Amino acid sequence: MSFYHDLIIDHYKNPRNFGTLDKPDLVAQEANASCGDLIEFQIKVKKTENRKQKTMINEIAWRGVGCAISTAGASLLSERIRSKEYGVKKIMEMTDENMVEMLGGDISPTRLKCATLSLRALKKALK
Amino acid sequence: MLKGMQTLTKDFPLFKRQINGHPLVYLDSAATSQKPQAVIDSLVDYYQNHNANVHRGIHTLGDESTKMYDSARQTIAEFIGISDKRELIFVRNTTEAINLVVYAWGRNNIGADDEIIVSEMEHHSNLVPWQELVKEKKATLKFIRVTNEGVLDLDDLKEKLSQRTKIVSVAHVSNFLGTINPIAEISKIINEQKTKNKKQKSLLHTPYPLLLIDGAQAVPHMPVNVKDLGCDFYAFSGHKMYGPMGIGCLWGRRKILEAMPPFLTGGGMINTVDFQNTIFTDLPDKFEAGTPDVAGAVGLAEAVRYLQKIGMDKIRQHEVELTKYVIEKLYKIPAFAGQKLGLKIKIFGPTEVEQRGGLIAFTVHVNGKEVHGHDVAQVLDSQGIAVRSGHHCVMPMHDKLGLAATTRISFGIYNTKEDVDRLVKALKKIEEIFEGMA
Repeated sequence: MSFYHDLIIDHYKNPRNFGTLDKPDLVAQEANASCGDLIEFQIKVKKTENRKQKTMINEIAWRGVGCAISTAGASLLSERIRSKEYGVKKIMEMTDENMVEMLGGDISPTRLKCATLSLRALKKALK
Repeated sequence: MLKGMQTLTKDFPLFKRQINGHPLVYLDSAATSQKPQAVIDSLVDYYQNHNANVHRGIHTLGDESTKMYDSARQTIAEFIGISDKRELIFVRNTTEAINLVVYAWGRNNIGADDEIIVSEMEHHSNLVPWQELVKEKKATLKFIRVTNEGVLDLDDLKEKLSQRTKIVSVAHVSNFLGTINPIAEISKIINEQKTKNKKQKSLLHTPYPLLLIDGAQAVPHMPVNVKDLGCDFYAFSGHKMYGPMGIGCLWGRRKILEAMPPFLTGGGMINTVDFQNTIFTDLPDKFEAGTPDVAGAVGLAEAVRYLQKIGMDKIRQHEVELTKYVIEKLYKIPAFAGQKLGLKIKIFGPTEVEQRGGLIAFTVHVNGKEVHGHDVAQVLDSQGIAVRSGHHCVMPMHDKLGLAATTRISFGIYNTKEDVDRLVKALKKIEEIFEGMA
């Protein structure tokens, strides 16, 4: 039973950053119609104060319905974004493989779209 | 268990495989069935010993191949009660069979004031092609209501039928609810409408409405005689009835098929061609442009012979028994019955087993929270049990029931009560993993 390891079950049962923001700058939804999964990201951004004026994520929240993999994926992704200083550019460069790694590396091909749903929603919000 | 049915697993070589360290329990035959050795051998034999194109080469192999192809058509036609094998068209699958009717018949017979009726429980393959057709022709698509019991509301059909109805297209057995629809009764209702139309003389000698049946989930599981059903078209797939993938059939009444233009055009379906014009050949070749899947047809005929040897009545009885057994077991998951806490299963479709084919869709709940179908399927797979999860290509009916996804088990001739026991045991693992969720 390596697939549903503790990390996934923990994030599924207690999703981090779950909810909505007050007056978010960016909102986007993404669905896996064939699973009935739906995830919405809400984001507030800020500009860095140095001369480069990079757009950074200030606050992040998400909500939605989904299976254990898509829920844990969104939770882990939001946690990762919060824990580091992530610029928009860096998020846009994230790959499906990054999501699989974040989820512990053991995702079967048929579940890949569950694992990557949150990343697609997040990228859509930042576009 | 019916006598003689226990041993069928040994006819299917795939069951020698272990899945995630467990012997395979295959409960996804509604998606596709496993193949018996006899069918696999027939494919190998065709390619090893007889391979040649049909109806073309004047040489020994060409003759053999053509004979095998024709004889396969005869075997399959007889199996579903067709006396004239020219009425049986080989296609790739049920979806292609329905598209053939939509393109070749629908595009030439449906106009802006016409109506098409399907049911709310249709597989996308018997919905999307009609949606596209009515959009193109500015016609209207209506739906037979599905009752809370998961059966078709025939009074609703009577109300929706009118002089404008050109075709009614419904599933013989629902691949989601499991419902066996009363086709003979539906055909009777349609005939009453035909008589009414004739009397009003507004449509002189109208043959309408026609009746198309999607038999994908029926032909592998029960005796089917298309003439007794009183329909005009009947579509089914080979791969769900223990035959190869890539071969399926459309049966249609000869007069209707003859009046239809071809679906695809090209080689193999012509009498004469000059630089400007073509005279098409007769049935069934008119609808089989290009080199057909001869090996597929041969393999499907072998699957039919395999089924005939067991007997379709016996197969139906076997599946009724298994369905009864699994429903009993699922309702009675020990220690949790009557409590909100713990594992709960909700079953969809008719409660009467006699009204159901051998498939059951359900949702799994742990401590009152629904576990997603994909998670259910994955946990079962880790214990060697293959089931389907999702919307099973029946999204509108899932929407109507407020469901995003369900888990579906479906039986084949190789399934046993032990398979059901293993399923029930494996479902308890889901509770272990997902318990403690608020």
